Amino acid sequence: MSNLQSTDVTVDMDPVTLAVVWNSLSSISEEMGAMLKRTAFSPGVREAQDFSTAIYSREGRLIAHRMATPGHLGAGIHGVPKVIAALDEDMLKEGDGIIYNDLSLSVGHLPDFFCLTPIFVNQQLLGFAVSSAHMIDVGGLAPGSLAIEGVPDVYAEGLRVTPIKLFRAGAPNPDVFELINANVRLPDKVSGDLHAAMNANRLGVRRVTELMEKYGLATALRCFEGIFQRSEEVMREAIHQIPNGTYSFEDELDDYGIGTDPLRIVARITVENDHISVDFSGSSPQVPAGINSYFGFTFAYTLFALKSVIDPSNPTSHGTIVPFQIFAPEGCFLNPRHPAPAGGRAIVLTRIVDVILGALSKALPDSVVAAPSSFVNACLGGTDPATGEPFVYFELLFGGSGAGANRDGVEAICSGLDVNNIPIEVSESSCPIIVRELTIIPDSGGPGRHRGGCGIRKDIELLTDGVTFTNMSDRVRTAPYGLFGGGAGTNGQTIVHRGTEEISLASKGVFTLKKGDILSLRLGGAGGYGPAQERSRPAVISDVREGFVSREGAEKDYGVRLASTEGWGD
Amino acid sequence: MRLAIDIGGTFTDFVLVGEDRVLHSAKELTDYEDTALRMVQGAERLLAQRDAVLSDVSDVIHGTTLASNLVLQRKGPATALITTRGFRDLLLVQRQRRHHLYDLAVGKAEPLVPRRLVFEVDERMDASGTPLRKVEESSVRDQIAAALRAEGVEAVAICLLNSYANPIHEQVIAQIIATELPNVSISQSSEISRRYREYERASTAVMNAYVTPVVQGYIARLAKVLDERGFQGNLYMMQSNGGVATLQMVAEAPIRLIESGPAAGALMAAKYGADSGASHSVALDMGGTTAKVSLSAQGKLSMVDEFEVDRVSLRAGSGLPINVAAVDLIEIGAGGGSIASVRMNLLAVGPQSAGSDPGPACYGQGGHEATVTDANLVLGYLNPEYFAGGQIKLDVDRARAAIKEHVADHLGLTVELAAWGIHEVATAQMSAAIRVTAIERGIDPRLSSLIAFGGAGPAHAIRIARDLGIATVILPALAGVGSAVGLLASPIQLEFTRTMIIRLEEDAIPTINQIYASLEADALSRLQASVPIGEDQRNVDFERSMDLRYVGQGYQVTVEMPSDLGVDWTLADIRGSFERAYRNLYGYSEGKDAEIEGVDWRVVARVRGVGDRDIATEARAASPMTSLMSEPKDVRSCFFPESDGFIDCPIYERATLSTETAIAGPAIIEEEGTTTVLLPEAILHSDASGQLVASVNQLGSTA
Repeated sequence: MSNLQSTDVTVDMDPVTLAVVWNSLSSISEEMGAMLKRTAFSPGVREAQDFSTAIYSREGRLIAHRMATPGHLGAGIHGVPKVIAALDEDMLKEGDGIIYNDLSLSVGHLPDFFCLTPIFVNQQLLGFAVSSAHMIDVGGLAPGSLAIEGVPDVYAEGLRVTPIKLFRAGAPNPDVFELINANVRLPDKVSGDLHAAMNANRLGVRRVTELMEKYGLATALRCFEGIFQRSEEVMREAIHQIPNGTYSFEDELDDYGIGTDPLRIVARITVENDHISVDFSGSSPQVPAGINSYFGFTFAYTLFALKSVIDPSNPTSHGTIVPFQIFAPEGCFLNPRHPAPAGGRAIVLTRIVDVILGALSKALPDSVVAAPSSFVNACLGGTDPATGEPFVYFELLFGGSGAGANRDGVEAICSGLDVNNIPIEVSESSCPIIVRELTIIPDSGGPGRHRGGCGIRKDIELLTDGVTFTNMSDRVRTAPYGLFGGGAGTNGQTIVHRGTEEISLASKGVFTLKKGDILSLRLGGAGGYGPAQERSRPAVISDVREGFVSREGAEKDYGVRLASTEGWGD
Repeated sequence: MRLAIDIGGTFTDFVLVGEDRVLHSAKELTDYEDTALRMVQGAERLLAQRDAVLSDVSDVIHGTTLASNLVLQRKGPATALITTRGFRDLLLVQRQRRHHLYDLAVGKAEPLVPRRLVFEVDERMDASGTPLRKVEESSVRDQIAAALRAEGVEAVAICLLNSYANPIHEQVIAQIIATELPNVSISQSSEISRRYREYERASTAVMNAYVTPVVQGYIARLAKVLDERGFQGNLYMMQSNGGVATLQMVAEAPIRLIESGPAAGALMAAKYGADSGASHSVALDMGGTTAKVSLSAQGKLSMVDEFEVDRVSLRAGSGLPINVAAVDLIEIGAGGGSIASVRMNLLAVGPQSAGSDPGPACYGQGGHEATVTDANLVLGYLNPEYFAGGQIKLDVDRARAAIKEHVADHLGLTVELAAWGIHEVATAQMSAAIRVTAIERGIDPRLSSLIAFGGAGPAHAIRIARDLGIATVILPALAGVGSAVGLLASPIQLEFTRTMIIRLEEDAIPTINQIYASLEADALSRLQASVPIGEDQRNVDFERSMDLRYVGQGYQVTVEMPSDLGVDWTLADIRGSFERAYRNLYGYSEGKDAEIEGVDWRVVARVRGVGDRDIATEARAASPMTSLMSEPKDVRSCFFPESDGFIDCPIYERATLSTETAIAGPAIIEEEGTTTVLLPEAILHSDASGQLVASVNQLGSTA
């Protein structure tokens, strides 16, 4: 790593000061995040970390950020420079808070609001404190503003805001607040969250200003350049280790609603020395359902996938992205034209990651993992007979993660996001449901030298009638792929047990359920890695013993026949 | 005499105090072979210096990392879990967290019970505590008991769904297992933690079961060793909650010991903070492996009801969660043994640590990596002949060689500048962690005092204070063994928490009173089993608190409650307290119409008379304290960037500092367990109780 002489190309910068200033800027972003999280209203912010905080340069280059969901981080990297380029710098004042959620500015969907506050040092514009947060509601068809069906365009999804000063020189702009409040379902919470974003920015501005006082403006500016250069060097050096070539991969989303066709997603990655380009040409056109991935979101998860494989541990800055060129043709569902709807585009994120990893598997077989199962986003709503009040059960459940060159996949673990599942005892004490089962599905992980993580099953019995169930899932038709001879994971399923009847539900849609129905959410298993015959016998026996693989599965998938005294499967 | 013994990751600390309330201390490297015996022998050496023997000691108070090490190293016995049919995968599914988003190979905490040792029973309780299906007893008696025997299981945890609402099914199963397998230890989740959220409760019961046989064995061994050597007093064990427990209390739930080491130091620091007059205090306990930060307001230590054991790189969501009351400690991978390296052509420190084995390069015990301690030695801050009271001779040449090879040469720096870089990066990491922690808890660090202890803390504390804009740094007497001093101050303490979701409406008051009465009765009966408590219970203090939330919200806020709710207080008062606490944390509260519900109800019981609350501020370190003027004992070349590099710096012996005059930095103050680095422009006073108080940001330096 150290054969690249820092003194050759870098700004003359001592490595200790640069390390301390860089760490400080990262820490300031963390502090901003802590402030936003503490003062925000939206459960998405607190429970699912659905927000970001960062420091940008005056040109809109990312300097440092808090560990955040890749969607927000990437949307900022891609969109903030565009926003800043269009600003009239002379109109900027200390204490301004410029907000937007416009999808053409790389925001993934309307609930995500960005807020920019300029940082001035000696009357000179140094950069911006930037935060973003998922608002609980921005109007539109359905509460929460995330509907997939029945939204022909973005106008049906809620309020759209192009960059505007919500705060002017430190003071809230009442006109803009009024406009927003009139268009959202929970105005107190939304304006509270916007205040929280501004609180975070104020703290960021104050702390960056203090840092400037300590180190001086000249040193600080050189540190910014130093950060960009180091990030770029490290990324280029890492790309250099990848064999040159073009690597393609394609996969599908099952559909975009009941009775619709699959969405094709194609990635073509070209590695040339220290540079990578990604081309999504050939992917399906945009669709009239809230599942389109605006380019900011596509960019964000492509960057996430590339970085996960190439350099997972170092911080991201503007320099990190310089060696990448990411392209999706306009009008495809990965770069839709305004006003395509996008509320439920989260379901696309795993597939973006899947095709990038699939393509890179051909260049870096040891650094990737096979495909994970899709998540299921289940929302149950109705009236609780015990209280006569409405209830909402909302959950993102994950299945297995893919196997890699040196390890098995993991059961029931998030991919691309980090969201808790909901404790059964919490659900049962607040919703008219009884959970009957939460178990790992044996034989669901793709067989391989390393086995894919198994899927899981959660069975929920409804204790009341007239429950609306919104299903958002995938990998029901297409299976999570295995790599290098490893088998695919099993498909997911959504099933309702009604008496003796077993009804299979579509992966995306809204359904009405009855008292006594048992809704069985089944997450598929993940892909395996390497030929199953190469799996060691003790590993297969251990899987049987622990119940991840049945005796029949061991024989069928691995050719391992266990005498009745061997293994302890029940 | 009372004796405190605190086993940390690297060192074992001893503190002895007699009637004269003078503290005597010793520090030894922890010996992991027959720890109980080695430790008692160490105590005897310290006693011998005072011409005393174990029979002169009335109380031994002991903190240990034994239980957490057992979990970290997965060295416990075969342990099983019995749960409700349909939920055998609770321990594997966990909360599906991905604790490192970008790491494609990220895994989960490995459960303490393998999947094949999880057994399902037909039974079901609903959320209100009504049985939907009774326990199928025959399957427990026949199949499960037989399987436990066949697998050689030594400990069994029982966690059934909704057992927090009604524990009867767990009790039925426990009864059967106790009859069938009389030598197996049993942990019922509803006994250890009667709170909702099945995975966390199961994880708590499982960890309790897992540590029980070894903790019991260790305590028996320790009691025997002490007994054989003439000790006739009381043996108390430190708990994670900042209180001590009798052996009987430990036997009921050995998991109470799990994070016992650092709690005592935090408790002591909170007391110092309160006495210093600052509204808040930040405690920094920097040892060999990590630094631990805790916060307190008005002398009250920030506590948590749950935490994680065995995290990966200290990341949230990566460890095994347990519902155990503990001091709210934030751990940072920056200790004396933290390893410096070059990443991205930049200097980085930690989180890897050389620990005590092999230890920093300068220990000369086989460590070759450059650590924070090596850097502090090269910078002149540490005295090579006087580290840990001279027990470890530090080798400057080895320190220089390690820094040159692993840091300086890669970065094109001199060894001295690289050493300075290591010191500065480690310090900045701690400052940053304190800032984030303080903001998360709604505290302004600038209004706090900083209490620094642990072997490495005082070498970094003043610079951290300068970074944070903190005006006062307190270096307690015997700062190097601060946690052990804290052991002497800790009372006997027990918590009982129970989940019961109740809307706060007028008719809720009798129910609430009932919950508290039953929690207090539980606590009393547990205490009475092992501590003398009079009929009138006058030596027991109860503290009631409740976790409340707005109906529909997932997060709860802890509110302290008056002890006789319903007499002097109304629901409106509770509401007011909740709204105040909520606003303090989140900056706003909901409207008056928003409904509130109680979730967790908690009682803390403390027994007065055990533990010397004022020990920290009233007792003093053994010292002659005769001089009027503080005279340096030596001059050493030390590095201060404020003075443009190495300068001749006066070195003082802490015990000889005069209380009459102040010292102006730069200066180094040495004592047996630690070294304080006083920066230029900082002023240091020594007070009568032997604590040092540094005034830091008085001369217009910026925060």
